[in-house]
Amino acid sequence: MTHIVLGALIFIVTLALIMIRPWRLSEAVIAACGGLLMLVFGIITPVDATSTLLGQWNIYGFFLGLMLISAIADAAGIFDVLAYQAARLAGGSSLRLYLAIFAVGVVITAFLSNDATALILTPVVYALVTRLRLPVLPFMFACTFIADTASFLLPVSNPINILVLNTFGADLGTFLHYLALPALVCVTLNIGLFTLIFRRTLTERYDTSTLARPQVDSKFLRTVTAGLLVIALGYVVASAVSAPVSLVALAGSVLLLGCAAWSRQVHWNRWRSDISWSLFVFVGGMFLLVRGVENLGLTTAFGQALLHLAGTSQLRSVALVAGGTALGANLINNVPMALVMISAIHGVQSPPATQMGMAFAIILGADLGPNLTTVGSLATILWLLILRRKGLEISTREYLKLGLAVVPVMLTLGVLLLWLRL
Amino acid sequence: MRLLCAVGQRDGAQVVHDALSLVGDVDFLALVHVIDDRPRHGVEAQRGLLRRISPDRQREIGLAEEAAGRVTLSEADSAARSTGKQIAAIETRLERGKPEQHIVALARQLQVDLVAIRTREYPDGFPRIGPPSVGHTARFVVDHAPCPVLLLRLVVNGHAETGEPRIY
Repeated sequence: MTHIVLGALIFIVTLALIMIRPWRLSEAVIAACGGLLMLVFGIITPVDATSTLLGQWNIYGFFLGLMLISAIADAAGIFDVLAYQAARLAGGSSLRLYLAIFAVGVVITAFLSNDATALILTPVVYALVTRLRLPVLPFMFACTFIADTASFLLPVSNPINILVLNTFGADLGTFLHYLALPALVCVTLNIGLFTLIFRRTLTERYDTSTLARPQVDSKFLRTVTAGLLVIALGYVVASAVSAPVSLVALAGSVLLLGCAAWSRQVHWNRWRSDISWSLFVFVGGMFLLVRGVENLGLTTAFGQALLHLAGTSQLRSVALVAGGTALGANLINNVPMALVMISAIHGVQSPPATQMGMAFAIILGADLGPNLTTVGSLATILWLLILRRKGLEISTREYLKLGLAVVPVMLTLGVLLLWLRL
Repeated sequence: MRLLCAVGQRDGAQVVHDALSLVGDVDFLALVHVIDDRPRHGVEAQRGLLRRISPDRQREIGLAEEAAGRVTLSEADSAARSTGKQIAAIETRLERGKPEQHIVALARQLQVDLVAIRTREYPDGFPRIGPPSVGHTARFVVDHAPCPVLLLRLVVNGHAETGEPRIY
């Protein structure tokens, strides 16, 4: 009993500290300390810890490969060229440019993950629309939202998808069977809703003659583009045959490094700094932490409580898991929340269809959920700025009501469509 | 008269033209554009897989903002010179920060007699919530400027049905 209380306490305090980040402590340090405490107090054995950490090699490899691929694609100017082509093809219409940026965001998120859209495409688009002297805010909302909304189009669109698929052993066909329709509907809804909200701002025109062609090494760009197409194909094939996608990501990053070397464009220092090394510590710490509560039977109890709440209704179980994961993802971080939910759902006995439905509901909640945080974190800075520009001082609470209206609609539709596929 | 004209991201030439057509002789004209860096900070605060937007990209955003600001001021400067008014000195200032605070501070520092400013930027944009009269920048300037403030409304293209110009 003491062990259970202690383990639960370590788990809760660690998650709370990740959420609060006192003294601006890194999440990685907090997660690692939590994992170590599980080890120190004997909740997990050293053997168990080692096998847990080594057992997740696919996700570490995928993270590393993904970050390297994004960094090399960025250095080759892929993002700049895509944004430039979008602006050129839009022909001076800010509405067409808006839709084109959404399209670029969807493609980048689908094949290079949500992280690439949020961290690389967003500043590229910011610089582009600023130079065109168009209002930046609608475009920033487009990039930040589509990064999450489009992240369940393919297994590789979000590392969380890989975590879920690894555990439940689903292939590309199963993934698409359950999530293709919800993803397409949510993406369409996101684009439609935002275009409607910002339609008045998107009437501005820009002068296409002021567009500056990005300065890129064309040989490097061409080879990296070809490399990315090969990687995209590799992802699809690996997901289809349930092969570890980390192998494709790592082989792909080696291929792109080869392209860079061939074009004499190797920037080791820059690429090293583009990799978030602390992410590996964070994820490792979280794996140990979740393994600890799993050993104590807490995640199974949580899973059983979820099943009890859902009763025999598949719709209720999917809605509970998706909603709970989305809320948790905003309170802590979507990676730990997804890990907890995966452990909980995997640890309980339920009909295969229900279990698969709940597994994909985790993806739905963890991928779409952070849009709520995007709204929350940007609320005070961006949305409130828009509203103040309109001469309206609005309280954060009132604003949040506005922001919260968008994500639940997408989540509800996603849940209903997922349920219909069960 | 010493006039300070606050120029937004777009329509800078129009603001300058409107202001100069309404006031008398101008000895000194300050054309001020302030890059509002709050949206940029919002974007830079984004976090991905425990990492942020790279410093190179942040620098690029800053350069784009400054390039756009210089074009804005250049258009405003051309508009001022094309009015035919004899203005002894025209000074352009590109600042970065909170526009309302910089405009008020510059009005004080340059000892201007009048500040001219658009009632709001993007009057036809963003969701219509709340009163569409005066934006927060113009309101702050009206409340804190050390001199009279000339609020300039924007006339935009005709109404879709009636064809009449819309004034904001």
